[in-house]
Amino acid sequence: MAARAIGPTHPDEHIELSVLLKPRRPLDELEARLDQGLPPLTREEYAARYGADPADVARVEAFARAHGLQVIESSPARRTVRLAGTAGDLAALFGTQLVEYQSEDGTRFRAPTGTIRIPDELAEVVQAVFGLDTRPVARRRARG
Amino acid sequence: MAEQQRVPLPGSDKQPVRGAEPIGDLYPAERLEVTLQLRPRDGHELAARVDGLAAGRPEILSREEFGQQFGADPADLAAVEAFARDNGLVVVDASASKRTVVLSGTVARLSAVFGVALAAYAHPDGGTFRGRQGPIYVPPALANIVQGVFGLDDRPAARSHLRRLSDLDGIQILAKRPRASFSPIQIGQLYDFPTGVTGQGQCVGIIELGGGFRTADLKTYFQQLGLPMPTVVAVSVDHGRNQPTGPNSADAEVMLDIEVVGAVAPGVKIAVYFAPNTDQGFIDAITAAVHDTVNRPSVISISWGAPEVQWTQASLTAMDQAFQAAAALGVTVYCAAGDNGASDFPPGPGQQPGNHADFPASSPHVVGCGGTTITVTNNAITNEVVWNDTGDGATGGGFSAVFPTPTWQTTVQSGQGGKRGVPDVSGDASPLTGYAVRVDGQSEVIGGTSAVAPLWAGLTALLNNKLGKPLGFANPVLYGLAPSAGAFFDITQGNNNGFNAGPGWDACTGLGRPDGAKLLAAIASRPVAVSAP
Repeated sequence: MAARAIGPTHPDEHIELSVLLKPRRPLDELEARLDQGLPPLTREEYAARYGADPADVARVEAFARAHGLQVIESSPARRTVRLAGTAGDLAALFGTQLVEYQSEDGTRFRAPTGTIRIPDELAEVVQAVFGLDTRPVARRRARG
Repeated sequence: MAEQQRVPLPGSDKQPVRGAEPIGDLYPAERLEVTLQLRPRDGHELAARVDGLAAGRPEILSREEFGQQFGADPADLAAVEAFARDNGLVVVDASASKRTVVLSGTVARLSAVFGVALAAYAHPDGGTFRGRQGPIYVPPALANIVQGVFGLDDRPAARSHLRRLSDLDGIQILAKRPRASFSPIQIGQLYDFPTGVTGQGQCVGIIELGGGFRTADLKTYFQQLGLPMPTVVAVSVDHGRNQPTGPNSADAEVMLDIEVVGAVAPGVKIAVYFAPNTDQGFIDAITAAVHDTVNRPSVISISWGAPEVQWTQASLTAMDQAFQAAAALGVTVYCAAGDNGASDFPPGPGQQPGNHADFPASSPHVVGCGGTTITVTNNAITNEVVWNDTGDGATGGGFSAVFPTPTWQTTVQSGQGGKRGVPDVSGDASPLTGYAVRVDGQSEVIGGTSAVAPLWAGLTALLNNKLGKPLGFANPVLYGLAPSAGAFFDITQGNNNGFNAGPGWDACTGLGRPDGAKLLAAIASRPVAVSAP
């Protein structure tokens, strides 16, 4: 999709990020379970074994607060901490610049330039960060 | 409630949409949310700053500095909030830095407060919208404070934007008339779905990255089919929400998904997870559904996707891990395999050469759903081939460039560099033999592999109900069934402009389309793993 850069994202723009944490135990172990055809885990068992470590969740939350971000929600089962902050703060924290684009069909979106850098304090516990990039990703498959 | 003098809000006068026909009044008790934009504290300086930013001279202000200098005046916010409360409206959100106040109220109240006549209109290009004509009125004291009121009508950006998007997406009203159309109940009968169960006690989760449903349409639809209305709940993820507009929008997807699941399995609860169409929204919607301890879906249906090459590795990994969690929790996930044949790209600019599998259907932890075209004579299928309406859509299918061949698939395919093949299963998908559904007050015939994921999701709810336990991670089970059991009707004719169908598994229709009764019998009679974890 051809898109045109419109300008930098306004530094005061409110952005919500989903931070995906690493699992407590290696997921290869979970795959082996599936290969063996073992009975399902309960949601509670899954969260306790393969969710995020509550200590890691706390670490991300503390980092967020120390940097003036708000914690919207945290779910060890989903391995997700949702954070809110301004574009200016988040771009600085993740070592990127945010740019607004408009695609040919008129859709507006935002994307970071270059690679997102996970802050050193979080590198050990964070797998990925989503939300700096708001490009539309999927098409629906209904046809009339 | 104070009835005060009102003045027209400058710039709010709306002209009628050319060719639009009034349909009638809106339901007065329907609740709407409107957003009021307030004046900034220092508008001239703000414009200068923004010009500087756009010209690449970023001069970064702290959040506090920005709010103090350019946000809404707290006194203005207070005045608007007081006005809302005096007039029976609910303040949903008020933000000084965004300079917005979001208010909620009924159609009747909002119409009275802002002096507008809202009505339903039919758009000349099809579809309906909520419209108004003339200006919006506000009390004189707010005339300088409020710069705009948005959301009373839903005609502007949504229509043209979504229609253009829908062209890209392949939703288009065909010039051709369908050869035949079927209710999801008829498809279930043609595929011999289990009878005597309704999916009671099961929850089916549906992921939607846009669009919405209107309960009145669902009531009408299920009533016309002679079925009870299933319980349908909307779950908001990352501020996505149930936001119906018109039939040429993503509403077509939402309604198709809900109506197919509900017609096949009327006893289920349907949880629709609405999220923004971004990787963040998609991932968050999947994890929200998989780990939902309130609705606890046992089956999830996803009819949104994109060619694998368009995803970042981080997104592919995060989503596949979420599906792995679903598998471990005993949640079956069905994903549409795509509507643009083996290429998986719609023709036109941006199309990449070669064949591409669609993601998330190519995740080894989901069941990829391909499409067929059926010929029906005297209420029986007399022919069923790969869905390929030359030049007008064909089932996705091929081989992943990312995921290796899973163990359970090595029995049927080992070609293509040791990569996962898709789809795994199939079902009727051609719009020419499509599904009769109701979308925003209109009867439509819709197809696409979008229909196949909810068809299988509904079938699985029936199986779970019959078996008394969830099918769970389905691929090892489905691939492990003996061909002699006849659980699948093998599709052997046709191609998807890249791969050919043939006996056994193929990259157009997978194992085949279901024979519901035989599938149930085959699953029920298979040995069960009993070893403890």
